[in-house]
Amino acid sequence: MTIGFIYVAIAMGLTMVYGVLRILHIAHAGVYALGAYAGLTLYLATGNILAAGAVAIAASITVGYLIQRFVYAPILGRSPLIPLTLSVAVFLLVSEMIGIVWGYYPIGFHTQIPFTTYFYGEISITSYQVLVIVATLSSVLLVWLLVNRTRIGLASRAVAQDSEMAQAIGVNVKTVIAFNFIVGSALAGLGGILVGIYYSQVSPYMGGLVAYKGLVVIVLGGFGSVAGAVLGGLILGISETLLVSAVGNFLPRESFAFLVLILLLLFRPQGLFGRRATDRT
Amino acid sequence: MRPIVLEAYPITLLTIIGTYAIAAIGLNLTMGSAGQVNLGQAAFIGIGAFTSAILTTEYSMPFVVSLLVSGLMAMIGGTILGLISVRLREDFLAITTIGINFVAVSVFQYYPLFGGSFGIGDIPRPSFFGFELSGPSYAGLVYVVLSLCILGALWTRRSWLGLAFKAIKEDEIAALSMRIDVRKFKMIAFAIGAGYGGLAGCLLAHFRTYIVYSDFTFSFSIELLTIVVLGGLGSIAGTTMGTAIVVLFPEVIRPLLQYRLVIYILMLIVLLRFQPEGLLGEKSALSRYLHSIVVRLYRREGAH
Amino acid sequence: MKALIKTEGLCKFFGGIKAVNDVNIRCEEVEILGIIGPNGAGKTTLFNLITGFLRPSSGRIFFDGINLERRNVVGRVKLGIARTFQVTRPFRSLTVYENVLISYGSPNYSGLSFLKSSFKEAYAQGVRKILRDVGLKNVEDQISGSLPIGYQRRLEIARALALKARILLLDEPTGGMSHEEGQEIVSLAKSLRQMGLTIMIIEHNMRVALNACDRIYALDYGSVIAEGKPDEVVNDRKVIEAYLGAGYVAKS
Repeated sequence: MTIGFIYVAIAMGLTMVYGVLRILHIAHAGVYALGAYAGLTLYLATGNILAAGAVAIAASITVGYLIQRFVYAPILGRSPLIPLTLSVAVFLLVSEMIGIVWGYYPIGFHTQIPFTTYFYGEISITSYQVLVIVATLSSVLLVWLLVNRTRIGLASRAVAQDSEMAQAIGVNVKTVIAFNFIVGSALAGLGGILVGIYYSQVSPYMGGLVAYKGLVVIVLGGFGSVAGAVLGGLILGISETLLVSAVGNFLPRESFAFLVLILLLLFRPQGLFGRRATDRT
Repeated sequence: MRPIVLEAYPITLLTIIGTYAIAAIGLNLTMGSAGQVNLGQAAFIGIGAFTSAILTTEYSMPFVVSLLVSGLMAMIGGTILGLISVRLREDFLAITTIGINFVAVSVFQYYPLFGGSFGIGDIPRPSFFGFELSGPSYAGLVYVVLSLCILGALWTRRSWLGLAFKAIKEDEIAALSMRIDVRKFKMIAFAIGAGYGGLAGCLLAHFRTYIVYSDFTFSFSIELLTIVVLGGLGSIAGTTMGTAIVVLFPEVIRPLLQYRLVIYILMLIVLLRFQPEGLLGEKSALSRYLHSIVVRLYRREGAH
Repeated sequence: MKALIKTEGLCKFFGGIKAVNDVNIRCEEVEILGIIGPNGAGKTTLFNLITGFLRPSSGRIFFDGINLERRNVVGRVKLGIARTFQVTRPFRSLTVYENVLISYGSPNYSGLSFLKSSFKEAYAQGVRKILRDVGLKNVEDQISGSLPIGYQRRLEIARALALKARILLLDEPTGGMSHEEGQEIVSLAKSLRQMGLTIMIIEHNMRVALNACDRIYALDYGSVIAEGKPDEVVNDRKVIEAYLGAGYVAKS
């Protein structure tokens, strides 16, 4: 359940990128994994969890920005397939490089910080889970504020709706794109390190599943709507747990997300709000 | 002394090149000729492989029947994918095919029918009239099938099917206005591509005599994608050459073996970024350069 | 003569917008029918409805007496309805010859005939004849995406012709052309009519419409506002108002 919150944060970042570029930024998951590893490395070096978090975010912002600048920017405007395939390739590249540099086996991420567990009747919750929820909620809130209460947020929404029009009225689209990438990647990096600590380990392809769940959230939430992404993430988190208990295990847990996405795209391509996977715009 | 071409190891390589090429040519038909994206070809190879493995180990079916059924099962899967494809924009279609790959692998791993985590072993080599094919004779079989597949691909090009594919690839709406049922031809494009994959899967299964779910992961699809992009979308010769390059490449760079996937990905990225039509495709810089050389030679001769 | 195309109460609404509103049109056989009107009047929407690219909100369309309701785009092409597009849609990477060949082989896309070879001499001859008739013979091997607009528009017509249709729906076939080029298209259309084809033209250019058409319907805001012989319609007060605004008419 807590994990659901983290996915929300990550998916929000993905949605922001999709909103301004209309690219399914699968490489986002690579940025996420890199953030986790960067954070881990710093933590092992300094023992300071906050510094580790900061580095995680910094690393992901850097990589995210580089991807936007050197991979996506030059090939915009052609069919959406090329950036998508490139994005998949970049994701694989980042994951493989992580494997080469840090090794292919999962690495333990054990923090020395003592977390206490609270009990409320039958429900137990650790202070780490509280931390995660607080962290994700505040980042969601922060992003919401950014998107809805700042000028650049307004510009982002304009670009997401109609980038040509936005450009015509003087919006600096390049800045908007960079902004959304930076914030989005930061969320990915934050998510990465949170998840790494939560499961006490990281592995090179940890982004794989996240990539897919992020996509499910985009489709559920309606393609570029941040509010929708938040809602979608929550729904996905809840339904995953419910689905497994209800329908039982006819497939390994990980494949559920894939199946959900395929079914969603088939039967409800417009998600909960907004545009469709069938749109050419 | 036996001539070097019959040595075991080169034969193995040749066999692998042959089977990969069948899958790649199929994928090329779907992606290069008809312009439909399929990033999950490995799933269909797997369907073919497991179909044949099960039929020959559990039900003792003769090889030829098993081969045909494998192709057919994969084709059915491809047709379903084709039906789905009509409703999706290309990038969402792409991720759907990735999803299909992952779901297929999960299914292969999860259900005992496919041997679960241990896969299926003791897959029999085909035998005709008491003669069991292996080594060079099996390679021969593979190349017979490959030749038929290439003939099929060439025939497609010459036929109205090939033209319909070209039309769909260029402009679906214009194609519709010329009486081309886009949905039908998309289904055919996926069906053929998947069917070729299924045949390749069957041949691979009987070659390795042991298959397991992890043989058909997304990385395999990426390798095939690299082959198709490298060889030029739409070019049969290019695809075959691309297969040879990709299969032989790890042999050449033994010390760098663990970086193999990274290198493919880098190649893919560079190719996609700068030359989406592939190194050997019709419009690539390389083929234009080669063409200009030919023209210059021809002119020089004509001047005499 | 029987109407080749007939619409009854044809409507197409997009949300609150009435793109086509209760349109009743007849197109007779072997005539050149013009559809004029200011931008946004619903002309292309009308074509999209007739050819099946859009489904009507209500109303019916008949082709040679056959109700088109159940037929999709491909089915209507099969019946004999061909169209060109306002913004040309050539198969850009293919040559002019290939473009027309694809169209010429249209009967082969049904059933399993697509397995037949497209390299037969008979097809080549048929395609070349059409290219000659339309004036594209000398650019036969050029890549269609690089053609100037005049040739592209001819290519659109050539492809429609190759379908061996009974009616050609031409959507602004002179768009982007000089006066002379436009005139050539008009004479092409007239010669096609001589060959027994029926033609419906959407024209934005009044002079061309006057010149080319036997009859004209004028549309505005989705409804038919005038109908008749070209000089009648062009001088119709409502038509002038639609194009130039009520103020202009009031002044003159």
